Amino acid sequence: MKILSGVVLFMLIFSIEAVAQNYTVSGYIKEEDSGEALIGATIINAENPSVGQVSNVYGFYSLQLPAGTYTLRVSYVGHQAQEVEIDLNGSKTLNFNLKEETSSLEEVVVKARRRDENVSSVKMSNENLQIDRIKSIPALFGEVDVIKSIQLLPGVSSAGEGTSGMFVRGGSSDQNLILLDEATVYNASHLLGFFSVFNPDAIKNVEIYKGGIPAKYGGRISSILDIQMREGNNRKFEASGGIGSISSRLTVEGPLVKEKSSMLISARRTYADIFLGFSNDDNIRNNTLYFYDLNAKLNYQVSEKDKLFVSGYFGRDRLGFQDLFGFDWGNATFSTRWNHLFNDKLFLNTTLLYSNFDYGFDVNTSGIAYNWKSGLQEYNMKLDFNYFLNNNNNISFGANAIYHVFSPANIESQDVNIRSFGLANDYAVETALYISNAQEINDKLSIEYGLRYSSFAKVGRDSVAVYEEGARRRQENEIGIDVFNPGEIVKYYGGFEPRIGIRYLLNPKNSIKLSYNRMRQYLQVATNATAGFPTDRWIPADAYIKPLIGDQIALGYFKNFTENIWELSVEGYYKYMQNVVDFLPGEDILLNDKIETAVADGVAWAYGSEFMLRKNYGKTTGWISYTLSRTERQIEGVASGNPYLARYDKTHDAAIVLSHEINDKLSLSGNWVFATGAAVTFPEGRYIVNGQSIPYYDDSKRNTSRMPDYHRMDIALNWKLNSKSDRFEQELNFSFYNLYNRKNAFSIEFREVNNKNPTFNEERDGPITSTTPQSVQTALFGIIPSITYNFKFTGK
Amino acid sequence: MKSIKPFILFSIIISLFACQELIDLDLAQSDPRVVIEGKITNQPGPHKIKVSRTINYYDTTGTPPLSNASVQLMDESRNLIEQFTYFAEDSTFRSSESWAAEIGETYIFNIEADGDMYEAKGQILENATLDSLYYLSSETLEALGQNVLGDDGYYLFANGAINGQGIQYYRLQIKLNDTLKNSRGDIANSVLSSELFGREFIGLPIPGTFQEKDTIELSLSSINEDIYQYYLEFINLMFNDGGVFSPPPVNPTTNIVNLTTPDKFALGFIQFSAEIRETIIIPEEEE
Repeated sequence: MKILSGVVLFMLIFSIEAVAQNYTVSGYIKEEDSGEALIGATIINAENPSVGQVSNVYGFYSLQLPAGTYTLRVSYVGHQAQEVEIDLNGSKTLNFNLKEETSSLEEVVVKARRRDENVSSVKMSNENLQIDRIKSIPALFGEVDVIKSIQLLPGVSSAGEGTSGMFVRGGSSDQNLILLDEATVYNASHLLGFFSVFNPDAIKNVEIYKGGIPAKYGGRISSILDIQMREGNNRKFEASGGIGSISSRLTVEGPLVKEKSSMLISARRTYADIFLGFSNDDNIRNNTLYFYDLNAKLNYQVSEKDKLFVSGYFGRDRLGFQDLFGFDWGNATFSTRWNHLFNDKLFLNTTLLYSNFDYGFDVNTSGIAYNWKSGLQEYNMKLDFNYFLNNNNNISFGANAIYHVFSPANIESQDVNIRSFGLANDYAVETALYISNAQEINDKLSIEYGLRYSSFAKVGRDSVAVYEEGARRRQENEIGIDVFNPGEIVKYYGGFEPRIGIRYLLNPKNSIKLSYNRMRQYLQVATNATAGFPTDRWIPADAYIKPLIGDQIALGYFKNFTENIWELSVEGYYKYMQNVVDFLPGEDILLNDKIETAVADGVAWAYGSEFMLRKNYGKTTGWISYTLSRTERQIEGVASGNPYLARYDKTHDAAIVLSHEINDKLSLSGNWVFATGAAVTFPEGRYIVNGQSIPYYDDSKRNTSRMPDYHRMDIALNWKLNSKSDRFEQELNFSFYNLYNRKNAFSIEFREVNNKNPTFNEERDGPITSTTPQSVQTALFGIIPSITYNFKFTGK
Repeated sequence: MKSIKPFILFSIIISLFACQELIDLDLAQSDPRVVIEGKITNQPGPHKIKVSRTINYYDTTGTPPLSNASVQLMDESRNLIEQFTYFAEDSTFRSSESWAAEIGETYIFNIEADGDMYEAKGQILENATLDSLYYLSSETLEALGQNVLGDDGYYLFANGAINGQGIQYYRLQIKLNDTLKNSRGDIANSVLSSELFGREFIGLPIPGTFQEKDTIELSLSSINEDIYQYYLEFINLMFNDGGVFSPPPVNPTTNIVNLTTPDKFALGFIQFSAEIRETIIIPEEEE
């Protein structure tokens, strides 16, 4: 590891070589109508197309050229290219506004960035989905879902029917860093995982890194899901929204100061409660069940060189069981960003971030009444510099500091029987420094290499139990307690995280890429279940729980054909994860202040290959993806120490996603997914204890059986309705989830069943004639039709 | 306390859309394992221990008793107290009727079955004090502004105090008109930890809804921490639906060790308890 870190450092120093006297052309590339920054637009010297640059996430570019006269060509997919002639005799600022292409309706564009990016970019194991693409994918109850769309990509799988947990290349769901405008989202799901928290109307772009992760990112070992909120139209007022089967949405946006400042406010609320009202059962009817989201963003162009963004998200779920039991949870994020241009080569983004996740429940029954609260906060500061050294070297460097506060549980009694008490808060400081360079060695070889140093200090106030040396960490082996004062370091971890990506262009249509990255993760979710509950507890690395370390190597072949209309990629990866933990059965996690007594650690490894064939342009667009993979874990004390498959291991995982523009008014989309059934543990016998028939499991095995294979087809039809004014657009979306009504197994339960009827009810079904041990399969969603109405009003 | 999970709410969502059906699976069959279940208390005997074997999952013939096993009860210094004798009527090994465990004492069982020697050890811990047991009708509770979970009828409450130092664990069982309430839900509600409680309890709700003329026999047993842990894991396993929200199913951690082949521990448990019993009858036309 040290050798690799050294090599990366050497290369960085080497790249900063003297270059001939050049002038710089720099500026922003934006969309004409809305003023939104265009990410990944290209600017090239039209006479010599090999000289060019790509705009960054804020739409900023910087291109260097010797003195002379040039024709610069700026292009962005779906937009009319612009050409300007410049006479360069000094550095220059040039801003571009690109018009959306309206003339060529047959040209449906579903991917931003340059057309040959698949082949030409150093990036691999990376996917980018524009929100328009995501919106065209048929969705459960018509609720457009960012994370479920991501699950259709190779290497990303779901926990099960309808759930929005995400498993990337063998990593568990807490190994994904989910960022909304750079702020961490700790629990990205609503309604116990059936919907994700991202309101599609407020989202601009979604990018996932499954491997080859740039040095700028860290903190989770499996993936980075980077979600950017829209800035809001800074030229015209706009109101848009929709009424769906389970939720309604409304977004308003517009300029505050024309072309200088814009704002966007977007809200969504479900009315799932209405479904409960249809039930005949009083106990179901009197319940509460809803969630809402609120997104807001404001940006202000302070000067030519300074731009400010403020954005926030607030969302909450509320479940209530009559007046007896209430449960609510939610995320809040807040991002403040300041883009500053020091000069035409050096760009700085300063970010202040705040994330909060909390949940609470209240129990209010006669004799037992209390409120339970739990939460965590993250205060985060980032400095990210972009230094456009020259056309061949684009250097990024920066720093990051996070202060974490965890409040695992606080119970406030509302009754004489329960005493109020809580677990002590945990505190930690996470820091990182990084530097990386994207370097074009020659026409064929391009390398992106970087180094990140991350560290984590668990700090006081804290008390740490000391256990007898060599003995198991159990309460009976405790020999003392170390007490730490506020701010005092309890435990420090740190280390280098080298990152490298290499692209070799075989020819303009074919390339080979290789990447390696090491990631460190200092927080994890304490659970053995595959999908998360909002009550899942995030625990920091501490005196006993070590940080996760993930190493991944990936190799890929990339090909574009028919004028970049088709993209093909084939990737193979191997990932090794250290300090993976498993929680001992039956151990209390929520109220355990010595969590180290409940864990066992070990290693995990995953390998696989991913195939992706994608068509981005034309009337019919979409992709076919296929993943062949295996994920295993080995943990002392679990399955007698034998390696075992992760529950989310899926040998085959395939998806076909298609969208077809029938005419100006109608478009049809559909997808079909197939996945090997999850790896699960089935009993090998049964016995009777406490008068109950209980399944018996072989302790030396885990997850050696399989659920039935999963497959499903969804379709959607989108119909643009006629409108008298071109300032008002409206459309209807009809969709069918699980079109052929496949009964996919969500779970298989082993229990005794009366009269061979898994839903037996004595009052309804008569006397019990038999009680037999059975396996009961639960299928969650059959065919589900839904309809959504969307509208958009644009001001003058 | 640990069992408070959003299960109820989750099941509501599931029940709206889910569809359940029986499926046939080709399950692997491993060698049968010894199953031991029983308890001794400070109440007069006979105290019963059942020794049997596991069977194939879909087998409906019942678990075969191991009538040739040997069950010995010893004190902490391993002096033999009693050799339990086998009774074919209910396939149990029984102590003599006169013997009762003493509070504060530690006992050891030695059981020989299928050629292996098993051992279980536990202490009879002091029970809680149950000062009074009373009932209120749902109308009265409603009038008092108290919420209850369940149907119309009568609800039981207990007053008392917790004895002993540190966290104490209990098992609460209810016999309703001479029938033990023993469904999955009853078992899930039957174990208690004093972790969240003060030293005294006032108006502590007893699970269940009762009707006029019901005879309710309540038994409260003190249990050792390892048995409390066993019950938690047992309950988790009973409710494990094999889905994404459940942890991988595992056999509950027993307090019985196999001295001959440590890896082949027995299934089941032996409970060591101090037990108190109270009976309450709800009369007719009670206002």
